[in-house]
Order: sequence, then structure tokens, then C-alpha cells
Amino acid sequence: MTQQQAKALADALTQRFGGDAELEPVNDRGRYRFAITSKQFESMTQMQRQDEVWKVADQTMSRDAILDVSMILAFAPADLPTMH
Amino acid sequence: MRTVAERRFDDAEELGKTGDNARANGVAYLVGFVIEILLKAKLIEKFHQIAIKRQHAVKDDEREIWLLVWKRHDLDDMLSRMAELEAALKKKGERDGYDYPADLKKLCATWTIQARYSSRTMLMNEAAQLLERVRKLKELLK
Repeated sequence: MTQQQAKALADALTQRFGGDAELEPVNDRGRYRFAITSKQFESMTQMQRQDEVWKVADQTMSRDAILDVSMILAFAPADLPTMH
Repeated sequence: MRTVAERRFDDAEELGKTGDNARANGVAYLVGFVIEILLKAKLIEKFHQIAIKRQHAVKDDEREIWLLVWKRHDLDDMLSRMAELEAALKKKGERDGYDYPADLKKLCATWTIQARYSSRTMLMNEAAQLLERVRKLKELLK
């Protein structure tokens, strides 16, 4: 996928879940890994989060481009360690 | 490696049978490990000549593959090196009416977070669902 397509998915994830979405390329092969942190995930199991984020990917991406979605990590704020 | 994967899956199943929520994270970790082993086995098949080298003999352009096989746990990076595997999963999925590539990526993401970041204790019914999804997928990765 293009960087533009990747950004479109990141924006769609942010629009759907709020919070922050990030993306990074995976080994220069047109693949991207995404991470979204949202309080909405606090009440969801890991697989529920995955099913919800991939619904957004299905709605946003073409059938070809979606194969270049390497992974979508879905964090609740409490999942992430706090630096003191 | 495939035998190891089956043994770890059996371990996960036995742990799951306890029904003890305190063991649920263990079940989730083991089934994710099953996927990792099977992906590494596929990488070794595809990149055999690189995988059999000792680390000091690996060339610069081979290093990433070698590290993925022997040192790293980036499941999605492993999968990205095997487009033919993903294409085969996609084709099978179109026949079965099931999105196997997406399901595999969901499992990889779940394992990544659960194994490395989450202090949250999973419940056994959630771990049992992971077990069933991996039961289906592992047969396609052999």
C-alpha cells in the first residue's frame, strides 16, 4: 500500500476509536504496522479489539491493499507502561 | 519444529481444561507460541540456506531473515516474507468463506500485546476462544 493509503487507515482508526493511531513501515515492502491507543478498548477483550479494528480496515481499504496491513495493535491506556 | 508446535498446543489444551482463570494468560501465551513456531518452520523451509548458517557466516543481506528465524518474535514481519503463504491462506479463505490472513494477523497482534505488554489477566473463556482459532489456523500453517 502507499503511504497515503496507510495514513487513510490510521485516520479512520482515530475517527472510529478516538485516541492516537500510529503507523510504521514493515521492512520496506509496502506493508505497514498500525497501533492505536484508545480508552474504548478498556472494556474489550483482545480479540474483540481485533475484530473491531479490522472492521475499520475492511471498510477503509481495498481488497488488495488490505493484505499490506501487517498488524493492527490495539492498546488500552492501561496496557502501556508508565514512565516515572 | 512442527512436532514442538503440536506439543505446545497440547500443553495449551491441557492447561485450558483446568478452567482456572489464573492459567488463562498461560494458555494465550502458548497458542501464540504455536503460531510463532509454525511461521518460523515455514521461514526455514523457504530460506533454508540462510537458516542453516552460523551467525558469523551470515551475509549482511541475509541477516534480517536469519534473525527472524532464530532470534526475533516479529510474527507479522515473518509473514511479510512469505507472500505465497498469505496468498494460499487468502485463496483457501475465499473457498471456505473465512478471512484466514486477517485472522492470523489478529492472533499475532493479540499475542504481541498479551505476551509483552498487558498486565491484564485474561479470563479462560477468552483464552479458549484463542485456542479454537489457533486450532483451525495451525492446520493451514503446517
